[in-house]
Amino acid sequence: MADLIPGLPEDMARECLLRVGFQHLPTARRVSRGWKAELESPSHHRSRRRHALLALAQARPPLAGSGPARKYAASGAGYSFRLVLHDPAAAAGDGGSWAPLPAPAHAPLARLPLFCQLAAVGEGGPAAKLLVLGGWDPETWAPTASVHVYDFLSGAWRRGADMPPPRRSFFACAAVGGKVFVAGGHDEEKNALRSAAAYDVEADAWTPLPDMARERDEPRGVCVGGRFVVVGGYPTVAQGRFAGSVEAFDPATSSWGPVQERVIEDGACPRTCWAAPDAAAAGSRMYMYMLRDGCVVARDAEGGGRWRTLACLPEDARGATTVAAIGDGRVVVLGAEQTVYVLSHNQATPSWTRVAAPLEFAGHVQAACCVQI
Amino acid sequence: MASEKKVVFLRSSDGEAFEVSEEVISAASVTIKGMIDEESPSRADTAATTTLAIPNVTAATLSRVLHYVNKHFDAAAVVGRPDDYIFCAPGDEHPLARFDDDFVDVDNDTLIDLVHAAEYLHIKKLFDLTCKAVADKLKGRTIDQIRETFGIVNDYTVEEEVEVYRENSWAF
Repeated sequence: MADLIPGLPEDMARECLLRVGFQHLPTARRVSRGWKAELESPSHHRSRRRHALLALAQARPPLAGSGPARKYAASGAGYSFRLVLHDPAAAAGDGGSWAPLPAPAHAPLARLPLFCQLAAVGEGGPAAKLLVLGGWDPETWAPTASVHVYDFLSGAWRRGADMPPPRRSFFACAAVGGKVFVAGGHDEEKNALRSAAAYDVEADAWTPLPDMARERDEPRGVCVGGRFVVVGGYPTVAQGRFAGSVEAFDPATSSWGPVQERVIEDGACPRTCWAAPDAAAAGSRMYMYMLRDGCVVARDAEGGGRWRTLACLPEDARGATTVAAIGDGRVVVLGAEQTVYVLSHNQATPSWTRVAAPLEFAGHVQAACCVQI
Repeated sequence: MASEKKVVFLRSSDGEAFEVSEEVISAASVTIKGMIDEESPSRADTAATTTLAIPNVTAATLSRVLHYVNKHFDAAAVVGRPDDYIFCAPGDEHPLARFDDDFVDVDNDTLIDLVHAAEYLHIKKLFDLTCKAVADKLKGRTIDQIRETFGIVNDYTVEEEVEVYRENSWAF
């Protein structure tokens, strides 16, 4: 086979390819057979330095004639979502930390389903993949069972096997290991669901799981300690009255653990819950974050399960809708007008870093997940 | 005192000798530190300065490497510890960031020579920098331009190329 990079021995050329930015991978693998083989090899992926990015389902910027009035008038049926990658660690101001992803090839009108869920798998494996699950058809608002899988290495989408019935909306969703779990939500008659299922991305197959103990509509799914944790939600008879209880599915035993009461406040919507990344374990026993009363609160793995306030949001970030932990004690707050705040709390005094978001990437964030590339 | 500092001479493959502080080059290059350590018992008795042969690196490349080494590893010239580099918060400009950018803003052959030299001399920071610079040559280039830049022969068959091409690409 020809040299990877003429003039450089194989091992040095490999070192160079390891440093190719993930955004150039789809191009790089088209350069030659040798490059493709190297970029797809397991050893390459073992050596690559991990980089935490946020994948966002974000509202598209308003069309021509933008302005506040136009923007708000565009809410409702006119809303259109797309996938955006955000690199919170990239240098501020160079405009390089936001990138739209191509739309799923099979999505109607190249728009993301409304209220879809995102999950990422393949960390440390041969390739990271991003999944878009369920949601509503952006045109008809009919719930969809569709699954779209994006491969960061090839830069290509494929259609995954549909989620098993019933057609669920507003379900909990999280990646645990190489699988993506869904649970709860409601069916097409607005009955809150106890059922759950797991999707094996490699095998492209769904497996039903045992039911949860409680009905949970609009719960939040997170991955904590290798388990799929379903937070909050409400039963059919108590529309909108959120419970604070949690149950967790352990893939090792293939069973749900006992219901834990009052993990979050009863009545609180769990949608801002975000699991601390496992990598943040050193010195930090944090395991979940959420937004509450305009503050970022965190719950420790031990210590009586109390929530404590890390920091209150800056004045212009009160409208934030998403907190995302990206490791090293950093928490990204999204959803404030044209601003991203990053909270660093692994230090004596937690501090905020403010980064302006370009107008194009300032839209409402409807779903988010962390992608390790 | 600068006058008391030990220096060594490095002789390039094409015979040119370069003077460098022993302390600075030892901190930078694992390879040269090893050579100096091997020499040191015999050196203790003599006042003569050591000349080390660097058979794999030309004068042009060696002078560039020493320019880098003096910037990055000479404690007197560097603001703060050189290691602070890695701990800079996102967005912080390291004082040497601009120097580094300019340093690797060179033609391809020069860059490849620098990768070789950094590897041979075992200067990790320079190796990282130059490899990253090679990788960054992909930025803003089409596939054909990348092949041309590196002199890579397209070994895909037309069918294969269409197959790989069918996939979307995107970029920051």
